[in-house]
Amino acid sequence: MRIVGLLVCVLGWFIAVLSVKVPGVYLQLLIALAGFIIAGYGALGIMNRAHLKNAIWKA
Amino acid sequence: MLIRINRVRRRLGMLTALFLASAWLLPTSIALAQAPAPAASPAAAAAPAAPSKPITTGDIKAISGPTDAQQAAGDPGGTITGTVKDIPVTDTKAGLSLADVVNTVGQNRIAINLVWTLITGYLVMFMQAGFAAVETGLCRAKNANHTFMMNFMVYGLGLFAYWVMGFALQQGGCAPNGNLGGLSPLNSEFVFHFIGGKPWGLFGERGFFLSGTTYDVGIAVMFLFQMVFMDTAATIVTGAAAERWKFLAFCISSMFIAAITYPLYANWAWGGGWTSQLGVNYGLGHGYCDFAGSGVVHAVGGITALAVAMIVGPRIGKFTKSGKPNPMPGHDMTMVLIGCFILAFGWFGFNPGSTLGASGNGSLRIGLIAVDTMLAGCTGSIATLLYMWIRFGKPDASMAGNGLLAGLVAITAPSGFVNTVGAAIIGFAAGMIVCLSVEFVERRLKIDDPVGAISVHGTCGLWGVISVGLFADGTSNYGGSWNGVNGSVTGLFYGDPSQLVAQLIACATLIGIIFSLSYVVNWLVDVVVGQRVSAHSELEGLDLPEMGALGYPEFQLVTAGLGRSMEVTAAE
Repeated sequence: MRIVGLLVCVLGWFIAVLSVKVPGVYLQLLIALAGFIIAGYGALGIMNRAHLKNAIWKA
Repeated sequence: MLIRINRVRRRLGMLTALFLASAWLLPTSIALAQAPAPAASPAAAAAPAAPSKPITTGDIKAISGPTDAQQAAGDPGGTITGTVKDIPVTDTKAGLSLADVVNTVGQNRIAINLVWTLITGYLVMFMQAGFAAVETGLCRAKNANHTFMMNFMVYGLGLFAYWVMGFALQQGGCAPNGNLGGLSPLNSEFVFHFIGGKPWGLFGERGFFLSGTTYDVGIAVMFLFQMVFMDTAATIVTGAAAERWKFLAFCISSMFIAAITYPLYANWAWGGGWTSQLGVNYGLGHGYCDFAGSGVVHAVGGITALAVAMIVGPRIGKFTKSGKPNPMPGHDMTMVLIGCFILAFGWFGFNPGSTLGASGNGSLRIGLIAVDTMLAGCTGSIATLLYMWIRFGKPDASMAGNGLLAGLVAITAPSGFVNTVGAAIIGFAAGMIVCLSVEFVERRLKIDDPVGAISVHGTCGLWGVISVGLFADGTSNYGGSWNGVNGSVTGLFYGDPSQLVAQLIACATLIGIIFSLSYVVNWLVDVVVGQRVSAHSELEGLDLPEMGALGYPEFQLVTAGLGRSMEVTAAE
């Protein structure tokens, strides 16, 4: 899951970067924001959850 | 008597007339100040300009300085010190020439900028002491030596790694820089062509060991200033991983951030790299704008701290079996607040110093930048104070300190582009955001961050980057352009939404690339040497097992959870 999380992080970055090719600045804004949120989800939603599975306080 | 009454009446009448006149003039002058400047009248435009007479060496020679006798008498008023006699002459036989004067003017400008950049760099260096005090104060006494030593050694380790390769990767292709004399030897950037066939600068290629052509006075100043910025990012991580981070793992991780992670992102923002060129290449505002490093310094540090805190895991006893967080208060609140003040003082080097000069290219904005900085810090601490008071019934001291830092972190990127009202709003919002983020990180993510580094530097750093795209008011003018795009940086609220797109791409880069890179490297460090100390060492406190000496040897420290003294534990 950690690798999946990393891949989602990088995917989020790539989506944000691709916004430069989109016509219309407000659409660009929306895509860049989506990319940022996806990258954040990869880090906090997927990777952190993978770490919490084996958290020391659960033992 | 009658004459006196008449005089009083006359004076009253004059005063009334003056009052009425000023009451009429004041709004008129305000209205004139707010109105756009009137166009020059045709008559004035048609008037022939007086022919300018070029200054010759003869004119220069005609200027006489104070006599030897005048100087021998002393100069208590300072009127005859610093005159034509103080201009160095290259050819003593020919005497003072126009070239001598012009060269002196040029050297004085660069000298002012070099001195300004050096002094502000020294201020930023002193922030290390602030970080050490804040982090140590927020940790328990049994880890004082270990926590302080991490903040102390990150300076030396980081400096060495940055000198070897970090600076070259970051600034190796940043030339030209007019404020510091050109920096011409830093002229090679590794570039590849990406989306739309545009050049994407990835890293610099000049300046390893500051040797060869980069053995240069201006580059040395640039190195010092950039190095202390890097060190700020590196020291942020130690706070989030405090009280359970193996010292060897800390050393390796810190050298990596100084050599690779930080320089890469800094190159993309400040060294002519690809995010700074989003404006030139794709028409997104002025490209990614980060005046003094909310993103480059603080978010890089905060996001690396997030990666390390995830890998290291929470301290023993931080969470109950059901996942409820336990408070683990620090041992010295006075140290924390003194540290915050030291940091706030150092921030006057951080932000105004980022003009890299006090003369030319719009550098006189340093006063505004300093005021923006202090305002955002103050509103940040006020917001946090209010939040904690309303939510928990007490004005929490450590969070007030974090609020101050949150405001300062957030204003770091926009400080060169926003007005004072914008700065106050950015700081206030940061003060609120840091409270929400600390709760979110601890209660929802269940990540243990003893000093709040992830929230203060990571979350508020991202907010600072975004706020440039919102609040930049289009009045700054650093030599007429920024990142190669003419005009001033302007945010969404002042009419340019494309700037916000560039800022969001930079934020996505911080998480998508910098977080991922930091995570992979620190995971490798975990596999090879292990990131976390043993449970026994952690319960005992890291001072003895990791550092071999207690931070407070004359105190009786009771280990939380064990109910016995450190000495007993050490004897075992």
